[in-house]
Amino acid sequence: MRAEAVDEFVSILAPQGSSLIPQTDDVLRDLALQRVFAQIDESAPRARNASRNLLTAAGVAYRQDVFRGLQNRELRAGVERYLAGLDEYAARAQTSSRALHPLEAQLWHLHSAASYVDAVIALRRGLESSTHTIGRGWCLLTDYLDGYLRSPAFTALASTTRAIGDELDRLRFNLLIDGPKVTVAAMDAESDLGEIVAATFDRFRSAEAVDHRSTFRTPRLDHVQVWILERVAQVHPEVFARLREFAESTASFDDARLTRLGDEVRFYLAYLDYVEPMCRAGLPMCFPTASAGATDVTVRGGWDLALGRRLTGAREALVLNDFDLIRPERIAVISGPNQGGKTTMARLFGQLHYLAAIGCPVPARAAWLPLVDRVLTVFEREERLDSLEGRLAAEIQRLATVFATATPNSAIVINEAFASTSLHDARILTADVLTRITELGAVAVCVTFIDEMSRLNQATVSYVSAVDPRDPVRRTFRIERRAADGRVYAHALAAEHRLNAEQIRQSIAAQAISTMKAIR
Amino acid sequence: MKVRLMYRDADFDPEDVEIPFAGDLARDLQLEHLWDALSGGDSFVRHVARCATLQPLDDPDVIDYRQRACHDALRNPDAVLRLYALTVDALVLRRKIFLLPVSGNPQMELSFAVRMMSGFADIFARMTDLAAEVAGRFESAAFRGLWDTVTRELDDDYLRMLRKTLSELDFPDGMLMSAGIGLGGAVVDQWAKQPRRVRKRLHTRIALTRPSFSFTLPERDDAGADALMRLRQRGLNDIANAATQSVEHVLSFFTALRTELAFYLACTNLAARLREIGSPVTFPMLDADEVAADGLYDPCLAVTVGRAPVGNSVELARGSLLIITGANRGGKSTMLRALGVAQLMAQSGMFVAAQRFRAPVARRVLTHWTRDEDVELVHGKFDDELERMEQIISIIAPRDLLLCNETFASTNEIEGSEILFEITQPLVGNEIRLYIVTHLFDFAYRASSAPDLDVVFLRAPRRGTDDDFQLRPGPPSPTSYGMDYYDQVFGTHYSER
Repeated sequence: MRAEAVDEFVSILAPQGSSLIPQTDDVLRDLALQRVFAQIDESAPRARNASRNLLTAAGVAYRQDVFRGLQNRELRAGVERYLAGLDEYAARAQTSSRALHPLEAQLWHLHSAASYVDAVIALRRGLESSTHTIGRGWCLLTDYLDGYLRSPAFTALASTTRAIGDELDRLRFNLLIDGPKVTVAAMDAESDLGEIVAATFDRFRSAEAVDHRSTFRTPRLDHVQVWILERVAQVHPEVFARLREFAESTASFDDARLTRLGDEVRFYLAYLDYVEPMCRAGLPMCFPTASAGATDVTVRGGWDLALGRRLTGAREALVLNDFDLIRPERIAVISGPNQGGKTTMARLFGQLHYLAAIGCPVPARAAWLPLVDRVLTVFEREERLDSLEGRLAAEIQRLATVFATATPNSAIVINEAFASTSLHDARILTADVLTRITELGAVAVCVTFIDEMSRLNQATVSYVSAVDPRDPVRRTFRIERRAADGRVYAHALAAEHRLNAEQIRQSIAAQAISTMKAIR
Repeated sequence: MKVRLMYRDADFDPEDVEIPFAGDLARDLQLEHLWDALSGGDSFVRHVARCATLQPLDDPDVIDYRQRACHDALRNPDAVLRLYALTVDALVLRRKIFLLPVSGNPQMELSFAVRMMSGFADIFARMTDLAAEVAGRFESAAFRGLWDTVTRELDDDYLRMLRKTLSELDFPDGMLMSAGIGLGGAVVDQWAKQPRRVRKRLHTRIALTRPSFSFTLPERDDAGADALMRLRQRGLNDIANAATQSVEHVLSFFTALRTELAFYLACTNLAARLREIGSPVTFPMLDADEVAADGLYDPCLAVTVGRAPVGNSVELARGSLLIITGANRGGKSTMLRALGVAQLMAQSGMFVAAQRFRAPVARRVLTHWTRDEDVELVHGKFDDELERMEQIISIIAPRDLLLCNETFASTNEIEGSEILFEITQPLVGNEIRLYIVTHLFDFAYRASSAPDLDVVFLRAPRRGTDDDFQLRPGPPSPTSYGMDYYDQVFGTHYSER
């Protein structure tokens, strides 16, 4: 019995005790993951910690299984209907609790119950497909749901809710407004005034007239409607008595685990929604093999999630990159021409480790990664007035923080550190930093224009952003594993941006002429 | 009736064309802080202040017109605030009318128009009183003109023009409808009914099924009356619309007045804030060919940290190239921002944050800052920088002012220097003022030795000296002082080698 108790459904996000170290939003920002996480935070605010805490191997496996289950269309549709129903239920329950009048509260309570009942039933229907192929988390949930749906509490709730609701829908009454005096009575056999008016003027009608009637939004329940409602309840006491009894006997009917499921499953949907357009455009996603003991990195067909989204939106093709760090290699030093995909590669490295460690599918065709305990980033950040600190100082402080927290199981991403100091200084400081990483033994990527850094020691390996050999200005966005050649192409790029002196002189002359014309 | 506080002969339009790349400018110069201080916590004032700073003037007459009005406002902040408060009161009246679904009910609309107009009449009277009290303290053409208009044209005659008969759609015995219960108890699906009537003594009365239950709305229950009105309207949704144009004319006057006053109110807010922290302000002179500033500081920084920053001096006699070099964290960017913010404030007609500020009018103020990489961009950092520079160059023209902060820092020093130097020459040669903060020693060195550039250098001091952030004239020096900080943090000794 004890073993069964352990295998009971608790959370769709992870088995107990599998989350590790929370990551900061700065890292997400550096890795260009902030959009993904903004989407997750927005749709699943209560899964915020879960999406930022890296997991143990067991946690990763559990979450990967849940993701796989959601690939089943019916399951996914059921979950989505459940969530929509829960949202409606929550909104209605809140309206009920804020209602100023007991009758209003009772009605919203009834409405909220109807939303809840429908939501739970829709979820179970979604899970009806073969539960043994949809992974551990979903199987546990199905068992739990079956017990819940059969419980007397739930069956009574469902039937009572429906009966009272139908009766209220059919109810009609008369309303007389005479100055400030309002009278409510049962409906009688009066004729419809609109029809009488229409009939009276019917003989004048020629062509179809334009409809000038105003459209009214359904207003919030005001006190006049409340007073009317009170009197409707006096005119039709039986149904309102049943309504009151229902409200009093069912103060709260939601199930804590199912509520939590609603909060947490949104994490998965938000992530899948985010990557969906890119998958549709043909970009590969895979479940990485992320094992705790592994030390080597092998990636095939990797792509940057942020860039992928941008290019998919623009309907452009994306270059997929391969990548290896096989011991003793620990640090990929990426150099080469600008705009060649270096930063993209650095981000990708961080993204893969991060996403793998929170159990998500990753943007690659295949990936074998160590399961890291932290992803640490050093990206140039904007000078902030509030901090009164220069860029370099902020960068050095960031590095100090990185080295204070990094372990041999961490992944470190350094993107063009020391860009705001002189070449001479940058060379010395970069070497110092890479030596520290080597001593630590963490996996790392370092983007730098100082290509000699790739030859610093046996742990460093050189990756170069490749250019088209026939046209050096043309970037391929492919990162290749080969020795850095030290050539830079920035100047050619400048001319391409119409920034040589003669081009600028011509532009200013043209501007001056058009300004003169505008004045005339 | 015209307001004419911003221009002698035109209205100020906050939605007018902004300076090109206004978004970059705001971000680079951190104008958000400036607008916050100008706003005094009022989001509308902030909006107007924002628009005014991003629509810089280049006509010295208009600048003078505003400076004088601004000066008046600084001497009479209470009067400006009181008049502004009246315009807010007037505009608040409008909300009542627009919140109600008056379309489809001409009777309602007219009654609201009358209510609005009586509210306006009250405000007109208070404006006339205020004018009588304070007009004499104002000297500028702008404010004197406004007070004259108020005194001459606003009196309580408006109110008398607007009494009309309101006896339409009179249901003598009340209005009957059938209805159902919708979500949350809302009264829905109303249908007006033809009532059955019974005669009782002298009155007729509508007969209802028994039992019936009534209530009577209390007399003061305006919301209840509105609710009842909505119920009636729903039951009688077949009546056409009527208009309230006279109300709209008065409202547009109050809107314009509020908008233009907001600018001067903003000036008084910032002046008060700076006075509070002991920072000097002055009215700038924009007639000069040369740039001359003393005690210049970044007001955004001043209001953010809440104390008077160190002021800087700069003199640019004829040349139009200023290069600021020196230590990290030495106040270079701050100085560059101070120059840009002062130029923008000056050209919106405000005072500036300095003891003395003289400069030519800039046709446009443009900025090129090294940015946090837009991480979602397709391009690399350097390409992004080049692209932004390309956009700037494509519109730049003589008399523009371009501020560059660490431009081309995203490539290596040699190339960054080469391209920056290539750009500098044609700009300076075409009367474009160029203020550059740079670490590119190679660039600074080449600029210093180019005879036709006539460059002025400022240098940030190394950290640890007493006068932190005080920039001094001086040529660039080849080291950037980054290492000492690294040594300090990591316990290394590179800077001593």
